Amino acid sequence: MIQISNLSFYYKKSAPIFEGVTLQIKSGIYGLLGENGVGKTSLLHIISGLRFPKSGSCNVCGYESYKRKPGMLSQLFFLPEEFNTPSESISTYAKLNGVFYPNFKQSELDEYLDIFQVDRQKKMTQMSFGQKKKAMIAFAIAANTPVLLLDEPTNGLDIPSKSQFRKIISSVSTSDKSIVISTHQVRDLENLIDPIIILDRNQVLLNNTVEEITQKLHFTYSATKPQDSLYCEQILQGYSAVSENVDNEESILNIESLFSAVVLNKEKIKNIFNN
Amino acid sequence: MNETFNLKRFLSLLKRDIRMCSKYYLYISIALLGILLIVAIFSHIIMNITGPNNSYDGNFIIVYFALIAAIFCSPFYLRENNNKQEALFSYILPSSALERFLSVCARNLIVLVICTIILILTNLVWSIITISFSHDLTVYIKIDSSVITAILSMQAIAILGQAYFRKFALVKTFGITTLLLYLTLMLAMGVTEPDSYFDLEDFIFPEIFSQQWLGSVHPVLYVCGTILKLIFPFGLWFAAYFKMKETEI
Repeated sequence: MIQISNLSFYYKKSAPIFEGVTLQIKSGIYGLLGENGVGKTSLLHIISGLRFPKSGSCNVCGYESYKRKPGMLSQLFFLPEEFNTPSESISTYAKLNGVFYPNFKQSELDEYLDIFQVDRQKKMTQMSFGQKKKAMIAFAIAANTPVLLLDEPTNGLDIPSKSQFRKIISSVSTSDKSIVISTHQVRDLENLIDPIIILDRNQVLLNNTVEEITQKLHFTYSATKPQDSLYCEQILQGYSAVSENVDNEESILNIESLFSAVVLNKEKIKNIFNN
Repeated sequence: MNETFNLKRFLSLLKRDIRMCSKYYLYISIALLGILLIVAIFSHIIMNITGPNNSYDGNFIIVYFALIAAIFCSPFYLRENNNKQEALFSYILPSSALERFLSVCARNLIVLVICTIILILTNLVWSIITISFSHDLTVYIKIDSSVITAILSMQAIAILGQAYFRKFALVKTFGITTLLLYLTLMLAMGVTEPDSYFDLEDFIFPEIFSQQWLGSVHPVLYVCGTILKLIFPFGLWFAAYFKMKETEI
C-alpha cells in the first residue's frame, strides 16, 4: 500500500531527517515509534503529500504522494496530533467533507460518536481538546480509507476513551487497510499495534511484526539482573530485560523495553533481524 | 475519476469553502455598509450645515478606498495556509490543484460581487443626498474594460501574494507591488518624457497618468503596455496556480 524507496528529506541540508530510507507498509495496524525529532510526523506528512521528498519516492496506493492526486487523497486520511477545527458541529463537518471519501459512512460516524459520547450538534470550537480529538477520530475512522494515518491519537483522551479507541480501531482493521499510528504512549496501544516500526535519525531501525520480534528477541522478568541482555530495567518486582532469543523461547512483547533495546543497540538489532 | 477536474467534486469543494468563508463575507458586508452609512450621515450633516457643495462628494472617496482595500485584502484572509493547523485538512482534502485554485478564485469573486453591490448602494445613497451626484462622480465610477482589468489585476496580485508568502503576506505583497508600480511609472516617465517632473498627483491618480502613458504612441511603452495587459491578470493567475500546486504544508 505504501512503498517508500530511497527517501531523502530535510528541513535544513545540514541536518537530514531521512537519507536513503526504504520502507514498505502493507495492511495492518502499524505502530510508528521513535525518539523526539527523528521524523515520525515528517514521515506521515510525506506519505500524505503534505511535504515533498527531496529525493527518492513515496508511493501510496499506486500514486506518487507528492503529486497529491485526488485519487490518492480519497484513499488516505491523516489526523494530526494538533489541529484547529472550523467553527461548526461534527455533523455539519461530516456533511461537507464526507462526500470526498467514497467509502464514508454516516451511520458509522454516528455509531462512533455515540461510543465516544460526543455531542454531534455542538460546535467543535466550543469543545475541549479531548472532545475535538474524539470527534475527528470518529470522522477519520468513518471515512473508511484504505490508508489511515494517526499522529498521537490517544494524546488528550481520557482513560475510557482510550479503551474505546482501541476497540474501534481493532474492529475496523481489515486485510485491505493500513493504519499507521505514531505514538509515544505505547502502553495505550500495546496489544493493538502489529507490526512495529522504530525510526532513528536517518534510518529505519525496525520494521517487523510482533511474531518476528518475539522470535528474535526474548522478553523476561526476573528477580536478579540478567547477564548479556540488550537492555535491562529495574522494576518493582525485579528486572525487566530484553535479550537475543538464542533458545527460541516464547515471551510476551514489552514495547517500551523493545524500544529502549533497539535504540541502545542499533547495529546489533540490525544484525539480529537481518540474519 | 478525472484527476485534474471533476465537476461534482469541484462543486462539493466550492460548497465547503464558501460555507467556511461565510462569516467573513458577512463581516465584510457589514463593515462596508457601516462605512457607507457613516460617510452618508456625515455628508448629510455637513451639507445641512453648509448647503449643497460639490466638494463634499469627496467624502465618498472613503467608500471607494474601502472597497479597493476589501478587494485587495480579502485573498489574505480567505486563504488556506494562514495557520498550519487549520490548513492541514484542506491540504489533504481529495481535490486537484486546479479545483482548489478555481475555488480560491470563486471565493474572491464573491468579494467582488459584494463590493459591486456596495458600489451600487453608494451611488444610490449619494444620488439621494445630492442632485449633483451623477455628474461629479463620473470620473470615479466609470466602469469600463480597463477598470475591470485593473480590479481583477489587483485581486490577482493579492492571490499570488498570499500563495507565495507565508508570514506578513499582506504587508509584503502591498510593499512589493507599490515599489514595482513606482519604479515602473518612473521608468515610463524616463522613457517618454525624460525632462518632465513626476509629482505626487501622478502617483495617487495613476489613471490620468496611465491614460497619457498607455495612450502614448511611444513604441517602447506600447510594447510594454501590451505585455502588461497579458500579464495582468492572466499571467498572475497562472503563476498563483502553479505556486499553489507546489506548496507544502
